[in-house]
Amino acid sequence: MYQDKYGSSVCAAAIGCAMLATSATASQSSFNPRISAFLDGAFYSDSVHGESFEILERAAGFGGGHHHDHDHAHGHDAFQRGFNLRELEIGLEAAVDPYFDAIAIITIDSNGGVELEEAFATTRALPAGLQLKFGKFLSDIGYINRMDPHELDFTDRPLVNQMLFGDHGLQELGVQLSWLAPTTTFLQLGLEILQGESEGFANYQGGETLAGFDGERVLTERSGPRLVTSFARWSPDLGVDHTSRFGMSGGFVSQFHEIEEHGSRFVDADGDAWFAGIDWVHKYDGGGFLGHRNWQLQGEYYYRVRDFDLLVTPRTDPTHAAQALDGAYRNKQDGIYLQGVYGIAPRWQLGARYDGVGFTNRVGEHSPGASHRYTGMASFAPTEFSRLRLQYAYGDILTADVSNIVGINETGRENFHQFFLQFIVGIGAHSAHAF
Amino acid sequence: MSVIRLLLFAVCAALSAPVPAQAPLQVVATTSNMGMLAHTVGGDAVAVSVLAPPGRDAHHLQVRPSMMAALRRADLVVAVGAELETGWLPPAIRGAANPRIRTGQPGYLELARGLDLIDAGRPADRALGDVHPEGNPHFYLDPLRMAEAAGVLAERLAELRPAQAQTFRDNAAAFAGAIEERMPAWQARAADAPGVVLFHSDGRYLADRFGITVFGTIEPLPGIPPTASHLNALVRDLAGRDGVVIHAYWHPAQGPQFLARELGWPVRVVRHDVPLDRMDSEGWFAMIGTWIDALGDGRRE
Repeated sequence: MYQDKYGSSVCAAAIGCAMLATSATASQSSFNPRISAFLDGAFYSDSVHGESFEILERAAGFGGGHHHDHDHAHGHDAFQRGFNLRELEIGLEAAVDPYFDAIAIITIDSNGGVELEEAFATTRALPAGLQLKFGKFLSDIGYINRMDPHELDFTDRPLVNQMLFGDHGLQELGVQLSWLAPTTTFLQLGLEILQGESEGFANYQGGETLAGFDGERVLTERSGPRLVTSFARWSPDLGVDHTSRFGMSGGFVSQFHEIEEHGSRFVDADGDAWFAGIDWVHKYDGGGFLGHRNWQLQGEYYYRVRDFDLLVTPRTDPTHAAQALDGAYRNKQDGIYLQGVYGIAPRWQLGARYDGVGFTNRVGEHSPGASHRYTGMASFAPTEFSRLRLQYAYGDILTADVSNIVGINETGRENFHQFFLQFIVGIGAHSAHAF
Repeated sequence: MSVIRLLLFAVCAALSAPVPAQAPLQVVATTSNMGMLAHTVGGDAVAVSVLAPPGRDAHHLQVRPSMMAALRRADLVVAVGAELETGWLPPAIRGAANPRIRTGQPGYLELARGLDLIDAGRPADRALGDVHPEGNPHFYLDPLRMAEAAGVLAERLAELRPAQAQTFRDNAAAFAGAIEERMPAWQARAADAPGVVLFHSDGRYLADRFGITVFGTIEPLPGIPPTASHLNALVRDLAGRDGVVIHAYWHPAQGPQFLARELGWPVRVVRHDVPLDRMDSEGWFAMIGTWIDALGDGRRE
């Protein structure tokens, strides 16, 4: 069905359309996949000398750890003060044959860094409401996780999505089976079997020897797939103006690692984890001109538990033999967001979002408090292919100099004001957003 | 032994029993105009549901889970096509996980595809607005193209339900006959209508069919809201002429009212799709009648 998503933009030749006039296929005069490109950039400023993303990375219980093993100072969604080109997102999609559709989404950042965001195939012909998806894709847990950045109602992802699942959300290699019930109300169930390597929830370093300075230490090796998730969604019939969808999801990863390198020792967590969450979205579409008076409310809550052994290895003797068990821990953390968007005039939207993480924040033997973020947004979309968005966020973050996954050294609350002026333009094939 | 014999008997009886009346084909129409066609051509052999609520601009709908639930059970999707539903129907069908209604299958029908559309083959350049390179999709306001579309739909229904092929063809022919019967009266009512400014070029087919000039559109380009300079240009160009301004319920009234006030023309707000409780040919004829009356209102008394 992807071919008529982008329909006849390639069918400029009337002859091509005429040839297909009596067939049921979507118009296409050549076998090229439909191509779309989204340019996503922003002018950014904040009240803390460009440090707001570093502050977020020090959020007590959530930051630090998993970034110690990376070279870059901040994550995927960090902006620098001034002009930013977050990414150019290139999408290709086509029907493979009568049995499969395929889609690939590649992003290029302004430094030329290329990432494969998604590359997957879905079935077209399975019976009984079943559909199979395989490849690399954004998991369908919750509501916002599977959205590409240009589909979001705010410039950035909710903190709960980034901090519990990773900067991109839960993005994995694997297989998904979904089933749509043959009922008059919408009921969908899904199961995903995934490799288990997302940095937030399923970070996996491999069981291979981790080279220290002149020694080595070893973590549990486990072959993939290591991550299983499932989701259920239900949408009652509320008539033509209102739509509500309720969902729940959960997942279990049989192996996660978090490695940290400190002055005198290596601190490694080696264990498993699970999460559970609920999501809700409500849309009102009263038929106003170009979105006027439409509104949308949505929220998601997730709870994550990590059970792990803490392994400590001295730097002076970084060998497997010197690796010592420093206890077993159970970390419990959660997060939520609630947001609303209202069409204040044709083509204009106002939005507000509350984000919070760490209402439950059991980390090792510590229980630091929560971090909060408050966001306001105004956007103008001249057409469905272009959008200009002004976003302001106030962060109230409980920060810590994280010593390791079980040790918290609270440094108090740090606040910031962020300003984004974002533009998104889309060219090429017509995009159609999923619900 | 006797149990097995009994079972065999039951199976044979079940297999040889007279075929009960078939359950109606589940037809999902994207708009109520398409629903009207399905109902008119399919008669009792189809059960019709409609995805886009009447009175909404079908360009700008959002996909909803209830659409997927309806499509999950569909035997046939009847769409307008020409990219009218491109923002929401493809993801709805993708989410419905129903192999019968995928493109290329007999259960997916875009009626625009079988018709000769206005403006087909124009450049696929969005600097020209929200253009449809396949052609103007609003053929559902043209009586003769709708008669043709009914024939295309009859053939598709015949393919899905061969036993009732003749009924479908007869129904389509009756619909075409009813249109033919009404054409002279409609033409008489439309005669000498001086011309129209539409909000969007959705009334083009109807105006062209009855030889009524479309002076322009309130939108400067398809899908782009009116601007003061564009409206002033229309006022300048049309000063001294007769005509009428026509728009849909979902279009904002300020632009049309400004133009009408400046030119001394009437404004008419008309339906673009039949109401769900009048989703039959009579309801659609009545809607066409209101359009023709509105176009005729451009005559100076």
